[in-house]
Amino acid sequence: MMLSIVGIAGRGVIRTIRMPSVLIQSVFFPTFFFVIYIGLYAGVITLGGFGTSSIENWYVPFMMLQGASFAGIGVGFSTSLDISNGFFDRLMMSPVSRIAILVGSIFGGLLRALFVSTVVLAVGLIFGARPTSGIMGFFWLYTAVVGMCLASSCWALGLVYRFKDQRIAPLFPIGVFMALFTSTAQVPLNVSTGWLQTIAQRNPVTEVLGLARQSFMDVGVTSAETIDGLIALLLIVLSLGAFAWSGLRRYLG
Amino acid sequence: MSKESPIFVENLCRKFGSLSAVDNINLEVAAGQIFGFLGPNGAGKSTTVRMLTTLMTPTSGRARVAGYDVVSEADMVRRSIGVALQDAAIDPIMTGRELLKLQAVLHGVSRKRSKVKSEELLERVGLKGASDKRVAQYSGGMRRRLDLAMSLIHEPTVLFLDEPTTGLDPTSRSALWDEVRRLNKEFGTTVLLTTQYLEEADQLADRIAIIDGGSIVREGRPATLKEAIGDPTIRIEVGEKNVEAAALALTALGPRRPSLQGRIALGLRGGGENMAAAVRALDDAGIQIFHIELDPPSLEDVFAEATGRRLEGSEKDGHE
Amino acid sequence: MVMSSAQIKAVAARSVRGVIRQPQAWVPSLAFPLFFTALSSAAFEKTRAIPGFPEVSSFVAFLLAATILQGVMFGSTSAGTDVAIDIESGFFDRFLASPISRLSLVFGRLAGTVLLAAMQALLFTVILMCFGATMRGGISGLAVTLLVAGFLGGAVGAFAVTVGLHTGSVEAVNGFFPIFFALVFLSSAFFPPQISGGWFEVVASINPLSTMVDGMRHLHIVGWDFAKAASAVVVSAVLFFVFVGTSLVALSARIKK
Ligand SMILES: Nc1ncnc2c1ncn2[C@@H]1O[C@H](COP(=O)(O)OP(=O)(O)O)[C@@H](O)[C@H]1O
Ligand SMILES: [Mg+2]
Repeated sequence: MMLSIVGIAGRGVIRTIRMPSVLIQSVFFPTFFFVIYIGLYAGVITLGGFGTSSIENWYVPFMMLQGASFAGIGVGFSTSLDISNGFFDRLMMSPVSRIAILVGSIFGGLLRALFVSTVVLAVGLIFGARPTSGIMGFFWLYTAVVGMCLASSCWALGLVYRFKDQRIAPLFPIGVFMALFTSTAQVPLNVSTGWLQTIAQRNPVTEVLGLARQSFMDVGVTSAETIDGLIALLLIVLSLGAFAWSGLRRYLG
Repeated sequence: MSKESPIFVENLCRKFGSLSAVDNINLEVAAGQIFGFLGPNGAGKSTTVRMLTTLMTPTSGRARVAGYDVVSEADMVRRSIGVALQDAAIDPIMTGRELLKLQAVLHGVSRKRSKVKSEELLERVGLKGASDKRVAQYSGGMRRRLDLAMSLIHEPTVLFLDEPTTGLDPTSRSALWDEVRRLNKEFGTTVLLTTQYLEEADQLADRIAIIDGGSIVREGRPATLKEAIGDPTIRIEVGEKNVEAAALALTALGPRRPSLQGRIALGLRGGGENMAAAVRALDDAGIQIFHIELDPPSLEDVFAEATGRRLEGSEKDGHE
Repeated sequence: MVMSSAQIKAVAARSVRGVIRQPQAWVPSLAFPLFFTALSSAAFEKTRAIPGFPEVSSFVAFLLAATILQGVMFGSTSAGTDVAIDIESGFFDRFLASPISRLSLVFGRLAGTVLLAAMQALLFTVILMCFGATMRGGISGLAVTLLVAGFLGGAVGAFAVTVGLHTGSVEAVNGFFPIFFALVFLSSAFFPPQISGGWFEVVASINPLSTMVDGMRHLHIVGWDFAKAASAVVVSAVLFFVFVGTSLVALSARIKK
C-alpha cells in the first residue's frame, strides 16, 4: 500500500518536474497577487481591526492558502487528463486499494502546495511581512496550507470522478475562488459589509484563515483561534474527502 | 463444465440508458486458450472487456475471471489479470521504463523481480533502445508493445487484449501476433483478444466468438465454424448495373452472400464442380464477367451468414 | 482592392455570432467582473471613510469604471483567439483565397469586437446602476463611457489579432491574459492610488488605463467635464489606432508568407 502510494505520487512529481510551466503558473499567480494586493490595498489597513498594522502580514497567510488551494486543483486537472487518455483505467485495473489511488494522487499536489506556499512566504518576508509567533505560528500556518490543499484536491477529484469529462475542469477554480473570497480573505469581519459579512461569518474558510494568520497577527497564537480553525479545517477536509471518495466509488458505475 | 475455467461468463448484460451494449452474453474460455472476440465497431467488445477487467459494473449477469467474481472479488481478479486496452492507456510524459516500474509497483511486484522482469520484457517487445525515451516520442506500434509489456510485468494468468493491432501497420501487427503466440505457448497464459480483423481471429485464436449488436451470434473453433458454412464462396465481378440480373441468373446455384459493389457472391452448391455452370448461366444471360474467384469458406462467410452483413475492415476483398 | 461595407458586415457578423455561440468564452467576461465588483464593494465599502477617498455615494459607484474596464479587457481578446483558431484550422486561408478584401478581414472582426465591448459596457452600467452606481454625467457621460469602452475593446482586440496573426497560436494569444490582468490591477481601477501611496501610486499614475478610468469615473460620480472626457477618449483612441496599425502590419506579413 505504502509503495503504491509512493508510486502514484512519484508520477505526480515527475509530471511536475517535466511540465515546469504548470509549476511556474501556480507559483506566479499567488506571488503576483500578493505583490499587487499589498500595493493596491495598502491604505485599507488604516481602517483598523485587522489584528496587525502591516498589510503584508495581513495578506501573506491568505496568499499562501490561495496558492496551496490552486496547487490542489492541479491534481484534478492531471487526473482528468489521465481519465481522458485512459491511464486512470490502468490504475483502476490494478489491485492497488482505491484509497491508495486517492491518497497517491493528492500527494503530488501536496508537494506542489508546500513548494508554492513557501515561495509566497519568502516573497512576503522579502516585501516586509514579519512573523509574530515563532514555530507554533508556522506550524499552524502550514497545517492550514496542507488542509486547504487536501480540501481543494478532493473538491476537484470529486468532480472529475463523477463527470469523467474535461469540460468540468473550469468548475475547479471557480469553486475554490468562491470559497476563498467569500471569507475574511480581503478584510476582517468588522470591516466587510452586507452579504459578504453574512457569508464570511458562516464560511469555515474564515476560521481556517484565522488559524493560518496567527503566525502574523499581533496577538500571536491563541488556543481559541487554534481550536476553531482546526475544527473548521477538519470539517472542510472530511466533507470534501467524503465527496471525492464517494465519487471514486461511483467511478465504475 | 467446471467453473474453474479462467473466464466464465453467464448472462452478462450492460446497458447505457436504453442501449444494450452487451446483451446477455455467455461464454467460457478454457485454460491456455487464445480466445478471439470478433465483431465490428460498436459491437460491445470493449464493454465486455471492461466488465471482465473490473473497470465497469455489469447491469446484470455474472462473470468470473481466474476463478473470482468480477464484482465481489474484483481485487483478486485484478491481481490475476493483465490488460492492454484499446487505446494504449499510457502517460506520454513518462518514459517506457518508468511506466513499467510504476506498473510493477501497482501490482506489488518486488523491486528486484521488477528490475529483472522489466529488462526481459523490454528486450522481448523490442523496446530496449527506446526505454528511456518519453512515450510521447513513441510510434503507435511502440506504444502497443509497451502496453503489452506493462500488462505482463506481474506475470498474469489471464491476459486481455482489446483490439491490440487496430491501426498498426502489417509488420507491427504480425510482430505482435508472434509475441502473443509465444506468450501463450511458453507460459500457458490464457488470452482473450478482441478484434475487428477476421484474419487476426483466424490466425491467432483457438476459439472465437462473433459478437454483433451486443450479442454473440456464433461461437466455436474457426475451422468448425467454417466447415458449418459448407459450400465455398464464388465471387464474380459483373459491373454495377448487372448485379441484379446476375443474381437472377444464378439463383439456382446457391444462396446469395454479401459482397462488394459491382460483384455478386454466392455460396456455390457443390463447390468447384459447378463453377462452369455459373459461368454458363451468366453467359446465357448475356452478362459479361470481369473477374471470377472461388474461395473456401472463410470467417468472412461465417460472419456474413450470421449477421447478413460484411465485416468492415475484413481482409478478403477489403481492398478495392 | 476595394473594401466594401458588406464585406466588413459579413465578417463582423461572423465574429459576433462566434462569440454568442461560445458561452464559455463570454460568460466569464460578464460574470467574473460582476462577481469581483460585488465582492470588492462589500469588502471595501467602509474604506470610503478613509481621508482622501473621493466623494462618492457607494463603492459600487466608484467601481463602475473598473467593472467596465475589466470586462472589456477580458472579453475582447476573443477576437485574437478567433483569428488564431481560424489560422490553426486553415479557415483563414480559405478567407484569403476568397475575393474578400484583406482589410475587411481585420476591420470586420474589430468592428464586431468594438460593438460587443460597447454593449458590454452598457449592460454593466445598467446592472450596477441597480445596485447604487451613478451616471452624473448624464447621457453624454454614458455616450463617452460607451465610446471609451468601444475603443478600448477595439484596441485589445487589435492587439490580440496582432498576436494571433503573428503566431497563429491560440495559446500565445491567451498567454497575454495575465498581462492584461496585471495592467488592470496596476491602475486606479480598484482603489484610489493616492490612498495606497508608495510604489503603487507611482505605477498607477503612469498606467494609461488609469487615465481612462479616471476620466470615465469622473463622469460617473461627479458630473460632466469636457477635459476628463476628452482625456479618456483620446487615450483609448490612441491605443486603438496604434494596435489597429500593428494588426495591419501583421496581416500583410501573414499574407506575404
Ligand atoms: N460509456 C458509455 N456510455 C454510453 N454508451 C457507450 C459507452 N461505452 C460504449 N457505449 C456504446 O456501447 C456500444 C458498444 O461499444 P463498445 O463496447 O465500445 O464496442 P466495440 O468495442 O465493440 O467497438 C456502442 O454503441 C457504444 O456507443
Ligand atoms: Mg472497442
